[in-house]
Amino acid sequence: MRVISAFILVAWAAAAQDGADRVTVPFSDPSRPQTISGNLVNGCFTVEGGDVKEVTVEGGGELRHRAPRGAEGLRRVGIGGNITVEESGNVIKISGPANRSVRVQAPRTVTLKLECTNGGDLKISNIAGDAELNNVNGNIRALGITGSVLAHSLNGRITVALDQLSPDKPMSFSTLNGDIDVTLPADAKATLRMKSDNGEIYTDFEMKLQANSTPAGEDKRSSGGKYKVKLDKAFVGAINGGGPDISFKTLNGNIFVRQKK
Amino acid sequence: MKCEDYRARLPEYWEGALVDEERADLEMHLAACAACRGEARSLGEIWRGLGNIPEAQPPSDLRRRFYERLESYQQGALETPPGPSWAARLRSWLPTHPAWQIGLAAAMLVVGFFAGYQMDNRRDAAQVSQLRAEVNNMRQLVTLSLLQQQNASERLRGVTYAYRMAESDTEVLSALLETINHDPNVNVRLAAVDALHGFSGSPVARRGLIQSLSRQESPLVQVSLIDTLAEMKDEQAVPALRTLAGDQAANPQVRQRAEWALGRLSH
Repeated sequence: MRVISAFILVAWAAAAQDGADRVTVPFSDPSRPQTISGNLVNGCFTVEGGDVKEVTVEGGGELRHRAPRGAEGLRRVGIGGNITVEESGNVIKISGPANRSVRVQAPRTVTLKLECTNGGDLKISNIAGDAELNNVNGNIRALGITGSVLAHSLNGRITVALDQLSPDKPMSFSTLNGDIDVTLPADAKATLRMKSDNGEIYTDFEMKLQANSTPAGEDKRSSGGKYKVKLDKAFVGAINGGGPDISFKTLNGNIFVRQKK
Repeated sequence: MKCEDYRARLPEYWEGALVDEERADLEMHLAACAACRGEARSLGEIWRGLGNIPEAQPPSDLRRRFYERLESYQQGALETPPGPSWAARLRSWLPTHPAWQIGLAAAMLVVGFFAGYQMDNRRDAAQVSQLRAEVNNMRQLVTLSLLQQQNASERLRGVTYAYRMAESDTEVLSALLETINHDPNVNVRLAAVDALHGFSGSPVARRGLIQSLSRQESPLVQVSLIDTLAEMKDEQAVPALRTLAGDQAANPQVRQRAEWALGRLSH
């Protein structure tokens, strides 16, 4: 058995120059599935897919561009925050407490597993692999997607535009407080499960709602009980005849399902 | 050359298969190296011992016994006279008149048709139920293996397969509970909570959901669990809900939801 033990570690010096620091990392075996896995607490990711073989990680512009008090009359020499990039067994790991955004260029087919906490928006575009996106306090934007997306944001908004649906891959979007806005191709075959506890649901798709999403009445008056109509707010609807499940779940946000124009 | 290499050559040496140079080289090494000399002595004994084992000889009367047996078989085969053939015996039973023959053929056709129809029916039913069992088995296997995947998208697929499981399968149930408690992805956990709606009749599922309430950190999963428990109307959920409702560290909306569920469970 071949053992892949390439291990590349790059750390940005604390006193890096003000401009973009950039590092290019190859995958150890480009013929096998590749993954980028990233976790930043105070920063977040912008990932662009393209016809490239290697991954370019750019620890570019810092997030909050306001000079702190006390910096008046001084020239900035550098910004802090280490970012570590490691490659091992075809997985590139990006991590660090960096207080800045990280821009990544990657092969389009890469599998993404990205997580941010306080670093602003998590953006990916032009990706054909599976994307697992998590952001606590920021928004999630995924555009030009032909793979599958699982996205969760606690307080941010999720915006996803899918150019193509895989026929056998379910997807799922969930937020606590943000809206979920998903654009699907007009001919997309899918079964949508939508639930918003305190928000509303909108779509311009022709949708056939399934029986379990209509209010169900329960009459127990004859046996001394009461008449109860339960209105469960989970709507299950098929578009273009139905297909893989796409689940939308939010407590306080609204749900928008749009046709790609 | 190392000692090991010399030792590997010993068998060739004893067979006399080494060329002069090699033999001289080996003999020189053996003269110099006590360890190899010891090895050569003990191995040499075994080697010579092997040579002394006599070759196994077949018993002297083997050939005679074989031919005797062959001959007796041939004789026996010739002695039993062939009885009347099956076809001939059958023919003696059948009617000779053409009209009877046609009648019999028609009757056979009808009987055969019905017998075939019956058998076919029964076999179909058996095959269908067997196939159904196989499909269920397959689905269970696929579900269980998908739930173990690295890729969250695959795990989500496993959970959606579990939605479609016809009857509550205990292995799938425990895999789903495992997913709810330990899957790193919020969306996969949410889907697993939804899938467990289908198991709401099972006490194991209820207990699992109640226990999971204290383990969840994601507010959305907590809300989903609370809703499911409120719907199941299981009063065993009350203590866990009360703890959550009073937990200052929990999300205020989650606590509010737990209060609401407690209200529903108490009437």
